[in-house]
Amino acid sequence: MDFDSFYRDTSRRLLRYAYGLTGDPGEAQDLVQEAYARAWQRWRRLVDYDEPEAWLRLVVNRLATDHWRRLGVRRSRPADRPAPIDPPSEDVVLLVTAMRTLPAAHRRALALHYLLDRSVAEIAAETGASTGTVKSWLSRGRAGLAAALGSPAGVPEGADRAR
Amino acid sequence: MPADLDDLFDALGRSADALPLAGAADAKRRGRQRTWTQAAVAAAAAVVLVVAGVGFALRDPHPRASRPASTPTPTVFTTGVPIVGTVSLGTRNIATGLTAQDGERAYAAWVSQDDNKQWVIAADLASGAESWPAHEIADPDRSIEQIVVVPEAVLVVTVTHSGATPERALYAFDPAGGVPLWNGYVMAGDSVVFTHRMLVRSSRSDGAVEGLDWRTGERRWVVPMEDDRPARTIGMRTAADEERIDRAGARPDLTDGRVVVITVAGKVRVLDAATGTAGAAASVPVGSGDTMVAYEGRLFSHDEADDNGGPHHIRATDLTGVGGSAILGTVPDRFLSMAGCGPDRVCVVTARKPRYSSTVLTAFDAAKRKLLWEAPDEFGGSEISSARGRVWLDAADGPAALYDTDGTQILTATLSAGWLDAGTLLIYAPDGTGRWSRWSIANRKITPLGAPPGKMLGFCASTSSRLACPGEDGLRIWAVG
Repeated sequence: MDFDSFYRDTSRRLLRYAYGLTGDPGEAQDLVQEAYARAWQRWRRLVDYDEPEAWLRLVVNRLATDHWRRLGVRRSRPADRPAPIDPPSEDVVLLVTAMRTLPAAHRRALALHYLLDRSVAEIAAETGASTGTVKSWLSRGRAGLAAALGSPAGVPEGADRAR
Repeated sequence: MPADLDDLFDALGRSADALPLAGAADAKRRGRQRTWTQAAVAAAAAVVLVVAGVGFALRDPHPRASRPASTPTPTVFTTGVPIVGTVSLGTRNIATGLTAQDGERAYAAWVSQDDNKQWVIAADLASGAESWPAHEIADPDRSIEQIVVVPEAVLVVTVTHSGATPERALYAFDPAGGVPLWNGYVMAGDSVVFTHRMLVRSSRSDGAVEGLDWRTGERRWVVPMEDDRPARTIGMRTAADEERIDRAGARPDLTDGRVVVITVAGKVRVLDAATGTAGAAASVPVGSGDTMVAYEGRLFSHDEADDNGGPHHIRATDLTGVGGSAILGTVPDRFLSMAGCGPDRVCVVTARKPRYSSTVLTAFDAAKRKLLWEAPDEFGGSEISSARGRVWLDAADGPAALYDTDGTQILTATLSAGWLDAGTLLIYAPDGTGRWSRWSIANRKITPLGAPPGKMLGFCASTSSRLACPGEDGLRIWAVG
């Protein structure tokens, strides 16, 4: 597996994940590129990992809460930045706003589950938590979203999606 | 609740999918910039450790040979390395900077972070004074990739990873006065070789190799190769070129005057860079392209068919017309890199099973066609640079080590270190003081220089007596010898 192929095969998923965590398109793009930059630095080792993509998500997790990373990284020049895009829909704005109210563990579980289609068992394996804990994160995360989004039921639709 | 959670996350996913990404090449470039930045941060950390009185910043396998007889108590050094001069860049924040030198002047190209403009400037190495003022390079779509200096021109290479074409642009300036000479372009997939005779450019799409005059950028010769197009063109590096190695690394400008064209069909043609006249011809297995090295009259390659776990056959092909092609030996596991490392020598780095986290440096004698020695590198270093037969092996995100001509590891450096000249390294003193020091490779003698500067924001270049680095204060010249 070469780096370019790995990037091509995984970067879209990582961008989804980063967007889910941060709710900010520019921040998500920056996190993703930074995560791959770090992957490139240690590619010869990373390529032998069982789950290099999980390693990338771990980096994104850390970077998402690490504003100090900018001390070590100069932002890309605007000329190299991707072109502007259409603004997100109202639903997306509402969701990312609600996501920002959640604890990081809940956001992470929700992003893995809903954006990357990971099962409870898979999230447990990736995070090192028990399946019970992951179920709790998802449940409380949904409840938190419902509260932030103003759902009268308290628990939003789709709650039974967890496997 | 405006919608079902699945629908909301689907919308979020679609929104994410619509976001553009800068691409793998951009991530690699950023990774390379991070490597340098980490080194600078590590250097600053070393000073902090010194203040705290904690241990040594540099690990030396021969402490008696390199450390002072009596190890001093760590102290804070307030005296810095003597500054020869600082040339103001005229821009406040720089995003990235590169430096080159020709023994007389230092040349820096940088990007201004405030307005993303690119600039180039020159300073006199002896006096530290400005040689010529900053010239703006009007190339807002690209970033600076390289600065090259040859006797007739200073060349700034800019690059874009956005997919825009041409991928690279070339900006030539007069080294003496800074007058812009010419601009040119390089399309994606084309090769450029910087020889002192001509700038040689080959194009797979056009099927031509051409020599460009350094002063005018005009084509002086062209060799059409439409039937079997050039896949890659590389310059012939010599051991003498390594004598000019400096803090910026191996020099990209080559003095030999021969370029080696490898065609799509695996044919090898040697051309005189000054005239385009054809020299020796040979052939190599098709597909052994990216890692080939032209060095001291030979073309070194490894058979790419071996890529899946090895063994990798290291091949030397004579390009002087007196010999053929021969396998020098094999290396196991994963092939990482290869470079000439002294007359008749080639060095190969491989990563070893089962984790591929450590590497092995292997030297071959091309004349005797045999393996000379193998040296395990616990740091996993893979970037080779060499001078006088000694090899500096750098790990992209970790320590580096220097290997002697017999494969003995003679120095390991946990912090940013590197060549000052072909016989000297610039290191952090292993006495706990965090001082910059010269380390003479021949006699292992350490000469402390002073506390390192706090702010450097770019890659440095050096001579035996001067170090030039771009920073927020300007292009600064230090006396280091």
